Parts: sequence; C-alpha cells; structure tokens
Amino acid sequence: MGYLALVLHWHLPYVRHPEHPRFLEEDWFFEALSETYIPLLSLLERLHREGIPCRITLSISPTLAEMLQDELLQSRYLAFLERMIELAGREIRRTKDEPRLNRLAEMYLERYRNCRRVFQERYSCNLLDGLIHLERAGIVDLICSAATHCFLPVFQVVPQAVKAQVEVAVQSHIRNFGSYPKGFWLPECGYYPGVEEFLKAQRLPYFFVESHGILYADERPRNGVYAPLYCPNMVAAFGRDPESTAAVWSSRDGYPGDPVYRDFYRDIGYDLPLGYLKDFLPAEGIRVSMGIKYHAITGPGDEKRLYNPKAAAKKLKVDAEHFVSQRIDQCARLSALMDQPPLIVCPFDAELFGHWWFEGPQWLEAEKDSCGFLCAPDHPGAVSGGGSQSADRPTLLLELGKQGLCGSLAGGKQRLGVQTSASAGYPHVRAG
Amino acid sequence: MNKESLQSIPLEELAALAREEGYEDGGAADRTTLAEFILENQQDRARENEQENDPSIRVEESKYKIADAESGEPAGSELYPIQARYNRTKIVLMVRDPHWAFAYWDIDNQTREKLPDKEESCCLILRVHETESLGNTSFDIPIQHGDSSWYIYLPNQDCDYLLELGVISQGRYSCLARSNPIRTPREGFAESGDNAPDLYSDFSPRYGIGSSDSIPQRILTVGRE
Repeated sequence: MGYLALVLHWHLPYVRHPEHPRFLEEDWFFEALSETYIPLLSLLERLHREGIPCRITLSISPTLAEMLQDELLQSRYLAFLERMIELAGREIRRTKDEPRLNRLAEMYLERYRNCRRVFQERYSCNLLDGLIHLERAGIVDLICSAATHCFLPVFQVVPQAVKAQVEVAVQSHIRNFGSYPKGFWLPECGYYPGVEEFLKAQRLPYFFVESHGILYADERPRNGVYAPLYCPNMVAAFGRDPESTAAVWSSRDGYPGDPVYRDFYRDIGYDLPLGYLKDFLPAEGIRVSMGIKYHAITGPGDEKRLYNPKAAAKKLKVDAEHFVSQRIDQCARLSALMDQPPLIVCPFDAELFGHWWFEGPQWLEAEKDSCGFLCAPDHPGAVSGGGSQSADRPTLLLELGKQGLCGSLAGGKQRLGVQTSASAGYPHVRAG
Repeated sequence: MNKESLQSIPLEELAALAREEGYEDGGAADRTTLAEFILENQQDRARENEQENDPSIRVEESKYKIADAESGEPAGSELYPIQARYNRTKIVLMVRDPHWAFAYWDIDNQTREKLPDKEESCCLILRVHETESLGNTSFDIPIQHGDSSWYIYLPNQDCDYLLELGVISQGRYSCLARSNPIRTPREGFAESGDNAPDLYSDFSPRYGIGSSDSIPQRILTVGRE
C-alpha cells in the first residue's frame, strides 16, 4: 500500500523575439511543443477518453504559460511546423532507395503533420485551453512557479523580490488558467528557510524540495521523504524520491540510456551537407539539431545502428513493467517501516519526456497497462492497491503528512555560485 | 564515412565537402589531405557533441545561460548594459553548501579614497565571525583592493556566520560593512534516537544522500580560494 505522485515541471525561459524574423532560441520552444507538450497533452486526453482515472501534477512556469498563449509565437510555431513538414518530405525523397531510413522519415513527417493537426484543430493554437480542460476534468492539478523562474535563494537578501516573484506567478496563473494554483514549484527546488512565508501569504499549500531538504531537517523526519514535512507555518514540503527518479532521469543507469532507444545526438543537422539543409537552418552555415534523428543509442562511439521503433516499443513495455514492479516492492518495503502509507514523489522536467527521451511519453502511457503511477490511488491497478481512497482527492495527499512539525527544513545545500561565471550576476541582485 | 569511402569521392566533390567543413587552404590539396581534414573535423564535432550533450547537463544549461563563460559578463549585457558597480559600501554573504559561502562587496568611492595605500601597512580583510551561543570566534581572510567577491570555506555545518569587510591600518581594525547573517545547512542527518533507523538505511549513498562527499555532476571546481 502506498502512493506515487508524478509531477512534471513545464518550463522554458521567455524567448519571444519579435525584433527578429527568426530567432534560434524560439526553436527551443517549438521543439518542446512538438516533442513534449503536444504529445503529453494528447496522452492525457487519451487516458481521459479511455476513462483511466489518471491524475498527475503539472507545474507550468509563468514564462512558458505566457508564451503558450502568445499569438506571435503561435503563428511562428505553425511556420516552424511547415518547415519541418517540408524537410521531412525532402527526407522521404532523399531516402527513397533505403527502405528503413525511408520509413523513419515517414514517421517524422507523420509526427509533424499530427502536431499541426492537434495544435490547430484540437487546441486552436492555444495549448492552455487543453490544460484548462484537463484540470476541469480532474486529470491534472496545475501548480505555478516563480514569475521569471529565478533561483529564489539568490534573492534571499532582497525579500521584496521573492515576494514579487510569488505574487506575479499567482496572478499570471489565475489570468492564464482561470483557477488558483494548487501549489508551488520552487525553481530548481531551491529552498531557503523562510521562503515558505511568501507561499503562505499567497495561500499556496505545498512545494517540492530536493531529498536532502527533508532528510537533513532539524529533527530527523520519521518518514523520510515518504510523507510531506510541514514547515512551522503549515506549508507542506514534498521531497523527491531518489530511487525512483534516478531510474528515469539518470543518463547512465536510467531507462532512457538503453541502446535500443533513439539517440539524441545523431541528427541530420550534423550529418547532412550544409547545402542540403540551408533552407532550414536558422542562420547560414550554422549547424543545429533539426529534430530528425535516425539512429539508436547503440552504445558509446560514433557507430550507431538505425533506430527500430518496434524494438523500442517492446523495450518500453518491459521498462514500464519493471518500474511499476520496483515501486510496488519499494512500497512494501517502506510500509513495513512506516506508520502510514508511503508517498513516493517523482518530479521531473517535462522536457525529459519526448525531447531528451524520445520514447518518454510512450513510456508514461505504457505505465497504464502495467498498473502504473498514472492511475489515481483508488484505481484497482494503482500502486496503492488499497481501493479506499477517493478519486477526487488532490494528487498530493496532504492529509498523509502526519509527521507533525519538525522545525525548519534543511536549506541552502543548493550549491550557489557553482561556477564563477554564474556568480558574476550576483552583485546585481539588489533592492531598488 | 571512413577514409576509404571519402577518398573514393571525385576530387572536386571532396574539395567542396572539405570547404563546407571549413577547409581554407587555397592550394591544390590531394585526396588524402582533404579526407583526413574532413574526418578529423567530424570526429571533433562528434566528441564535442558527446561532451556537451549529456541530457541532464544540457537541459539545464540551455535554460539558464546567465553568463558568458569566458568573459564572466551576464548574458545579453552588450545589448542591455548593466553598471559594473553601484558605488555603495555593502557586503552580501550567500550560502553555497554546508561548508562554502560566497561573498560579494563594494566600497563606495569616497571610502575608497580615504583608504591608506598598501605601502602604509594597510590591508583589507574579510573577518568571518562564527556566532554560536558558546562564543564568538572569528578568522580573517586578506583580500586585495581590486577584489569584489570571494568563496569562503566555513569550518562548521549547521552554524551561524556573519562577515565583516574591514581594513587594518597601522595595527588598528575598522569595519567598513557588515553582511547579512547566514546559517550553514546540515550536511547529514540530524542526531536521532530510534527514529525509524531502518528507513534511513534505504537512502543509499549512490543517490548522494547520507554522505557529504558526493558532488553533483554539474559542480565545477570553484575558481578561487
């Protein structure tokens, strides 16, 4: 018996550049739309249609939310899709004598066409509508993050800046989603003792911290990271579970590093002659990733096998089953040591799914067939298996936090100023 | 492509490929030279790709490029100039981890002018105060007139610190500015009686928990100290 909370943090910096007809950094946004945001929304809609009682937490940063509803960027994204559809079409012609490559080129063409269809027809170019719909349907809980996604501990000496970051974030969330944010994502999980006061002032009941934020608290928390820890002002902190997140995130030991999955680095933007790519590159003579990649990870070194989507799909199923069985074992192990059901919190950057790990969204979907964590706690197949929880509970079960008051969380092990280049900006952090 | 397959390409096409890769020698190069140049370039690029594209590093770096790595200037500072100093005497102390803090400071022009020259046995110092209840201990770090920031090693975790920017002239110390106080975070679990010890054995050091030795992969060697 236990619970799994999947938290996906959607964030990109504000990269709108109307002063340029085309701007490289806007392509990050367009890639994330095509590879992560649209596939994730489509997945959640599918689960909803199928009646799977799925429930996950999505943190949408204000900078990203503002870009998602921006008409200029929406029209530029359509232009981006047209370019990619044209490029995929050329790839189909170029690879006509190589059937395996040709099928992969067709896969990309279909993906970009599908993005265009979903973006235009399903969401009228505004993905916020999709998120609002999913929240109202009870599929997702939407939370917000700091206004400009700044690392709040840096601003500790300018409390009015932290206050403004939280206030503006809440205002932006209400304006964009028509609802009050259910919690808060501290950028980079950057906590410092006292930041919870600004969240409390904005009626934000919970936030997330790195594992050590909970584990190294003033008093050793009885339930480790497997139950929320309350700050003295009763704002709850949820700690990342290192075991389950490493299984997904680690580029070395995690699932995404399997040789059969698609390789991120080999990209036609680097493999094909510049002359062939010139109509698609953001600037003449500058190679960038184009998003069309034909190879599997294979192993270290340059020699890569061609990507085989069927083999990847087979492995996905195995990995999804493995993840779920590991969580069931973990819950059983923890339950024996705890006086309440364990809550395993798995927060990820959303861009891991689809952008970095090509098969990521499909992996999430495969979880549903494996009694996975997308299920609500009362779903018969959910990790909890308890069947006693109500389906309309919040994703994060605040009432589970029976640890009581444990004094302040451990803060500050954030490794500020880890690079001298980053510290160059600190003297400019100042009041007025 | 390997060397053999490159050498089998007609010379003209090979030269065109090499030019795309940045080959600039105007003279007539032979196939081997061109093929080697192309291969070398491709290998360099592959290596760079491999190094620069670790997902867990790139996903963060691409989002938060806040400074130019070589100049140390905040990104975009050429478009939107930021003044280098604010001409106010001030020192700020920031926690980095249980044993390191970062301090930055400035001394206003008026005060600067009044500072005696180094030749007159004057030196600027950072005085680090450890302000635990048992008593106030301190140590000094000499700094140069041109310095404006410093990484400071702090001996004790879970402890209060405060910093003074001061000057010692002819054996006399005077404080120019006092920083905000900080408390270093704990570097491990708090002392505990029988608080579910089995649960804690679950946090194996391979996750970087329970050990202060593990350094996240993005942490680079600090530049000073």
